[in-house]
Amino acid sequence: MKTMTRRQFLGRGALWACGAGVINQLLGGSFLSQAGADCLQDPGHLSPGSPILVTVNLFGGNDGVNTVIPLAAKEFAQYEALRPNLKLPRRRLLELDEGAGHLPRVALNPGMVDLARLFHTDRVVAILNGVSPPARVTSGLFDHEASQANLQTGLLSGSGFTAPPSGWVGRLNDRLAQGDETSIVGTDFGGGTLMVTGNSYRPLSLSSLASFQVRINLGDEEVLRDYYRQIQRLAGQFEGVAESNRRIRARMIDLADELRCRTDAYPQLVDTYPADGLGPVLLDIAKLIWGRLPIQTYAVGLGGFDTHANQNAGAEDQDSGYVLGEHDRLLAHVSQSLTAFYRDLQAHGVARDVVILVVSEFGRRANSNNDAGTDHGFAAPVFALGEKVKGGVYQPYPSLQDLWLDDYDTEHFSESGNVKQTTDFRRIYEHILVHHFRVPRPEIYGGGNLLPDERALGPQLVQDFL
Amino acid sequence: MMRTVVATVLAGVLGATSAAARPGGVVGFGNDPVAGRPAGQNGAGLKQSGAGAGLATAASSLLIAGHFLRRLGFGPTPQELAVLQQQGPAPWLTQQFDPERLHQCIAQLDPRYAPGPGPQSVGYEYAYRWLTRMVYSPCQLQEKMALFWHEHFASSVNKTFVFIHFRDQESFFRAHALGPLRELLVGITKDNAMLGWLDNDGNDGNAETPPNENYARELMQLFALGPYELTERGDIVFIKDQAGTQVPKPAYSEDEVKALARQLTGWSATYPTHYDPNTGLYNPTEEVGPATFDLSAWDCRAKTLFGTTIAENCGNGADSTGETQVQQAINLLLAHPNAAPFFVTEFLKKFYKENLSSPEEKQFVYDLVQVFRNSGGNVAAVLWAAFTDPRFVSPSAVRTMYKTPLEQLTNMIRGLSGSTQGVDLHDIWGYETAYRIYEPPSVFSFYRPGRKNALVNTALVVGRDSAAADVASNPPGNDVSSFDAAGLIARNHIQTADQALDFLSQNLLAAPLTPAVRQLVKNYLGGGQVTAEQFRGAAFLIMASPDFQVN
Repeated sequence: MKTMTRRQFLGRGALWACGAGVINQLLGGSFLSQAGADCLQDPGHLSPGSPILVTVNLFGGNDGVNTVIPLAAKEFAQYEALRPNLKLPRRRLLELDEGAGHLPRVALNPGMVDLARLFHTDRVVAILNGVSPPARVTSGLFDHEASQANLQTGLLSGSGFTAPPSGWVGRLNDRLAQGDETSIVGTDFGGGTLMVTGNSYRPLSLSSLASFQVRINLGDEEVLRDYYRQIQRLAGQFEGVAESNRRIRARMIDLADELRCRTDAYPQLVDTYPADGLGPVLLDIAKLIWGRLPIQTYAVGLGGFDTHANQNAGAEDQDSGYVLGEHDRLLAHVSQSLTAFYRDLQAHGVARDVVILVVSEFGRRANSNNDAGTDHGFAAPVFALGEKVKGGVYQPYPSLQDLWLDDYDTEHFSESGNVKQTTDFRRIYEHILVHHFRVPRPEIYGGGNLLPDERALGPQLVQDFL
Repeated sequence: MMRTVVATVLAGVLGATSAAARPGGVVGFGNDPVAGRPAGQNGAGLKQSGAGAGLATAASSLLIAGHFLRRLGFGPTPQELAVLQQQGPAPWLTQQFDPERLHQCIAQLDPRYAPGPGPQSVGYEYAYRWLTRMVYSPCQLQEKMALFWHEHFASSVNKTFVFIHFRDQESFFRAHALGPLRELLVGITKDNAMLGWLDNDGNDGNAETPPNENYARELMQLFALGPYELTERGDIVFIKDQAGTQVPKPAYSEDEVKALARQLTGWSATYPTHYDPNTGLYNPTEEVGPATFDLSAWDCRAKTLFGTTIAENCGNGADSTGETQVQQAINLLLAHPNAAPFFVTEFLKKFYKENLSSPEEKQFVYDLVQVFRNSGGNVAAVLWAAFTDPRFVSPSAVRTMYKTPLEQLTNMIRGLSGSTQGVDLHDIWGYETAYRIYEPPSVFSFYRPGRKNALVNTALVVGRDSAAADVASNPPGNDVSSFDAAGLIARNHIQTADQALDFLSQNLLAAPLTPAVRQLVKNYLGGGQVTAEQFRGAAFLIMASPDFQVN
C-alpha cells in the first residue's frame, strides 16, 4: 500500500529528484559596469549572415511522453494505461496541426502555450520525434553522466574517456576559431561546457554579463584592481594548476569590460522574459548577439528534469481551468523563455541567423512508477526553433504500443518499457552542421572529424526541418 | 623551478628511499591496519619503535607540513604549521587516527560551534556551523573525511529543505569518518536525507507500478562500485561490442538496478511534524527519529544480483526491521571485486592526485587495493597506508591539485587566524563559487570525479576572487571581520613589506611566493610601516594569485 508522502500532502512536490541538474549559475546580480569604461579591446564583430546556434540542455532527462503526446485514439489510450498516476488530461493538451510530413497527430504539454502559439503563427518551431542514440551499441544509456557525455560529444562512448573529450559543437568551434587563441566563438552559459569545448578550442564561461567582473570592496579598489590584473598577466612564471588558473583569470580580465561595454546600450524591446532560470541568460545572449560579439555557439541549460517522483505535483484539472504541475511548469518556463528570446531577436532584426536546439540526455520510461514519477528512459523529442526552421512535426512518433521491452520487464511487470528510437541524434547534429553552418557533408563523417563516431548510423537522414 | 626545490627538500626529509619499494610503502610509521594506529599499544610505540627514518623525528619541511595540513585538513594554522615543521607530520598524523581523540572531538563541543548570531538564514545555519568545525576542529582529518563522505554520498538539502536531516547525516558521517565502510553503506541507505534525495522514501515494492530505481542505480554507480569495471590498478576494463569497437565494461546491468531497487523497498523517511506556514519550511530545530521500514511494502520475492540469488522470503521469517534486507544488499556490493579499486581510486583522487595514469600512480592504486582486500575493506587502514607512503609526498603530488572553493575559504581563515563570523557562507561562498555545504548541485557532487578543473572557469573565478576580497575586507558596520589584520601585525611585529610578505606566504601558502608575485605585492605595499588596510590588500592579492590556487 502506498502511503502519501509528506511532500504530496503539503503539495510542495519534489521535482528535482536525483538532481543531475546543472548548477543554475544565474546570479541575477546587479553590478553595473564601471562608469566610463571604454570599449578598448575589440574582439571583433560577427559578420552579417554568420550562423549562430544556441543549444538548450534540459539536464536530468526530460520526460518526452508528457511533453509531446500522441493523439491517435489507441495511442492515447495506451498513454493513459501506462501512466495512471501521471497522465495529462486530454482536453488540456495543446494540439498541433501536422505541418510538414504525414505523421500521427500530436499535442504539446499544457504548459507550452507560448511555443504552441509560435508553432502556429510563425511556423518556426520544429518538433523531432523519437530522438536518441542507437540502443545496442551506445554506452551508458540510462546513466546521467554517460548520456550527457554522448549528447554533448555526439559520440556513443559514454564517459569512459581515454583521451580528453570534445563536444560536437566544440569541434565546430575548432573550425570557426581557426586556431585563434583569443577567439570567443563558443560561450558556455551553464549548458554543458563540454558541448562547446573543442580539441583545441576552450570556451568562455559566463554566468551573466552583469556579474562578469571581480568585486573588490576593499581599500583602494582601483589600485588593487590594477595589481590584481598585473599578477594574472604574469606569463611564463607558473605551471600546471597554477598556470591554468592564471590563464583563465587573464582571459576573464581581458573580456569583462569589453563584453559589458558592447552590450550596455542594448535597448530592451521585449519584456516577456521570465525573471529567473533561462530568462536572464537568454536576454544576455540576445544582448551579445545584438552587440555583434564574435560568438557563434552558445550553450545554456536548465536543471530539474530528473523527475523520479511526484513529477507533476500540483497538477489539477478543474472545470474552471487546469493548474500546471511541476513538470508542466518547467516546460512552461522553457516555452516562455524561448519565445521571448525569439521575439526579442526578431524585434532587433537579428533573428535570421539564429537556430535554437532543445535537447536532453535521455527521455523517460513510458510507464510511470509508484511515486507518480518516471525512471530513466530512452527516446524523446528534440525541439528546433528559428527563423530558418521549417515549422512542423517531424520524424515518426514511436508507438507506445510497441515499446522496447526486455525480459526483466515482461516477467515482473505487465506495463513497462522504453520508447523506441526513430531518429538518430547524430543526424540532427549533422543537419544543423550542413544546413546552418554550411559544412560540406563529406567533412562531417569519415575524413572530417565533426561526428567521428559512425557506429550503427543507419542510412536514413533526418527530415528536412531546416 | 618549484619542483626542484620540493625534490631537494623531500630527499633530505625522507632519507632512505628504499622504503619506497616496499609494498604498502610504510615509511617510518608502524602499521596497525585494524585501527590505523601505529604499532604498539597507544601510539607511543611510534616513538619507541625507532621507526621513523626521516619523518618521525627529523624536522619536516614547510612544504610537507603544508601538504599534510591542506590535504588531510583545511589548511595550515600558524600553530599547527610550527608543530609539524618541528616534529614532522607523524605525531600529528597519529593523532588524527586516534580513536579516543576522534571520540572526544565529537563529544566535547567547542563553544564556537554553538548557534549564535550569524548571517545565515534559518536552516542554513547548520551548514555554517559545519564550516566553523572545519575551521577550528583539532580533528582535521575527521572533518575532511566527513566532508569526503558528504561529497561521495552526494545529497542536497534544496529538494526537501529538511535541514535537520542534513544535520543528522553530517553527524553520521563524522561518527563514521574513518569507517567502517559497511556501516557507512548500510547507514546511508536508511538515512532520512538520502531517502528523500534519491527517492527511496516510500518506495513500494508491491504496487502496480514498478519501484523507483533512482537510489539503487546511484548506490551502485556512485556510492559502491562505479559505472565501469576496474582492474586492480584502477584502469577501466574495455570489451569489444558487437561491432568490434572497444567500449567500457559496465560494472552492473539494468537487471541489477531493478533487482536492487526491489530489495531496498519498504523504507520511509521520518519528517518533522511542525512547519512554519510562513516559510513553508519544516522547523529546522525539531529533532526526528530514524527512518522506518514497512515489511508490507518490501518486495519479498527472490532477486538475483551478480549471480547470487537472495532467496524469496514471503513468509513470517522476514526481518520486520528491514535491517537484514539492507545488509544482504550491501554485503553483495562489498563482495564485488570492483569495490576495492573503486574506493581506492576515489580516495587517491581526492587526496593524492586526480589523474592516476603513470606506472607509479597505478602501482599506488594496486598497493592500496591489496590493503583494502587484506583488511576487509578497512577505510582507516587504507588511508593510513596512503598517507604514510612516500608516494603521498612525492614532488609531483605536493601543491599540484586544484583547490575547491571550500578549501580556499577555510585555508584563508585558518592561515590568518580568522573567524567564521561575518562570512556569509550561503550567499557569498556557496552561490558564487557553486560549492555550498549541504547542496551539491548534482549526483556528481560539486564536480565529476577527477574533474576538479570544472570548478575553475572564467565565470567561477569571478566568484572566487570576489569572495577572497570579501574575506580580506573589513565590512562596514561589522566589528568582527574575518580576520584581525591589526592584531596580526602587532602580535607578529610586522613592520616592513618583507615581513608582511614572509608572514603571508608562510601562513597562506606554506611555501615561498613566486618571485614575480612577491615583487608585485611588495610594490603595492611600498615602504614604511604596513598598515592594517595594506595588509588586507596584500592578503587579497596573494589569495587571488595563482600561488594560492593550488592544493
